[in-house]
Amino acid sequence: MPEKCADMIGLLSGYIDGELSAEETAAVEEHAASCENCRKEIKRLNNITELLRNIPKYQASTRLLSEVREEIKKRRTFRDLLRPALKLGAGLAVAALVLFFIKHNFAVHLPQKTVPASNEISFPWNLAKKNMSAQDSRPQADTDYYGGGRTESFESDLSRKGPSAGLAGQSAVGSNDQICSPAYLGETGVLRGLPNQKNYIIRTVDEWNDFYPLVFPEKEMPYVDFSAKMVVGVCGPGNLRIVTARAAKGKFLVSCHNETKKKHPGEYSCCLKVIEKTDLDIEFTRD
Amino acid sequence: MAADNPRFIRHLSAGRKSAFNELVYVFKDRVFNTAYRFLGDWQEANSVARELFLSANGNTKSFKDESRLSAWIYRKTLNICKDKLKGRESLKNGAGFEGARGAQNSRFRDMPHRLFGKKELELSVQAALMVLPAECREIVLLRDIEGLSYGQIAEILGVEGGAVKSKLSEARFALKGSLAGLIDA
Repeated sequence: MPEKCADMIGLLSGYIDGELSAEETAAVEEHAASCENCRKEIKRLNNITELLRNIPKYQASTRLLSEVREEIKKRRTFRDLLRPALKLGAGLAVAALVLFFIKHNFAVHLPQKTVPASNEISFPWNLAKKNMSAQDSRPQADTDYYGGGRTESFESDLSRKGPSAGLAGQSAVGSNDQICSPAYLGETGVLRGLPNQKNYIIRTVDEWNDFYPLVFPEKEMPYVDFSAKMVVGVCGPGNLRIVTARAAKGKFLVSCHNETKKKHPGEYSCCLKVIEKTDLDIEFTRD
Repeated sequence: MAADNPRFIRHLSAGRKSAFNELVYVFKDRVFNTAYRFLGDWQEANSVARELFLSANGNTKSFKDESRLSAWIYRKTLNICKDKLKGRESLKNGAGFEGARGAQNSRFRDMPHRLFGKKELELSVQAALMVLPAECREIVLLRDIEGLSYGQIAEILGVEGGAVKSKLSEARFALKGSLAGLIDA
């Protein structure tokens, strides 16, 4: 085959389809005009495409649609049979989960016998229950967060014991020697948490018999330095809010976020509780 | 064609039964022919068509326009065909081609004698197709039998336009060798 034909041969298929560029088309036509072999190749290729184009086209089975429909119905019937069983299974699973969580929540509210070292845990301060006044918060908080019976027993325990019961109850959280040393300012507060749970549930006491249930998603935890093995919780007289605690030369500086300060000036000093024994001074600043 | 109708595509996306029936009606022959020419087996081609539409039944909601629908159908058809080819080593050499038997079992049974020449011609072309490598066969089927554009073929096969051009050229030159007696200029 002449060199020029060898160059052209790869273009001929595209040429008969009209898929070449103008330049390539002109080159093929110019060459074919003077090359009988390439003209014959083009003719053969055209014959092939004509043969293929005219090959008989058959129709699919007339039963195709009904066969497909039957099969779909069969599969659906099988699924339908499975569905009630799946629903029942799912229902049981949900019920089991609900029971588990109910049980779990009760466990969370139970006074704990031990509180781990504070440097191993972190208590968040994002207080979920806002705008709850000290005077009217208890019933609402109980309704929202706890089963009535459960809360009642806890409250009655405190009310029976009076103001000191707050500390006494708190002491029950762990050993008196190690935790619940009442280094606090303002009103007494109680923080309880279960550090092994992803969502901590902590109660603070704004006034002796008022309980604020606090739920903290772990990711919302503000910065707290636990190097001094202490946990600090703060809430205002009527509002619970985020605070940060920082260790600085043996002192903890507890302050509110600027946003909180603007909204509630002067309200953030009433409830603070350290639940691990510490000799550190607690200083609360309002600046 | 119904498949060009935006409402048809909308109804298909919405999972309407009537639209699915129409889908089968519109594409069944194209699917069957492509499968038959690719596999050379009448029964298997019917089986491919069934599988294809059963598969389409759960997937029609994602079809947003006709060209994608059509491309999906051809692509899926060829994929099912290729699955069936696996394990059929004999077909790689063209042996086991059942086109004649399949055709005789159906509409060709009562074919007038004078048309028999056409039948022989068809069988020769089918045999020539069957000796092509699968990747050449699918391109020549889509272009020369189904009459699709290079662009449509590229979309179906997920290749570049240049690859379509070169594979098609390769396939046609291979066919030229197999069908020399029928096409000599």
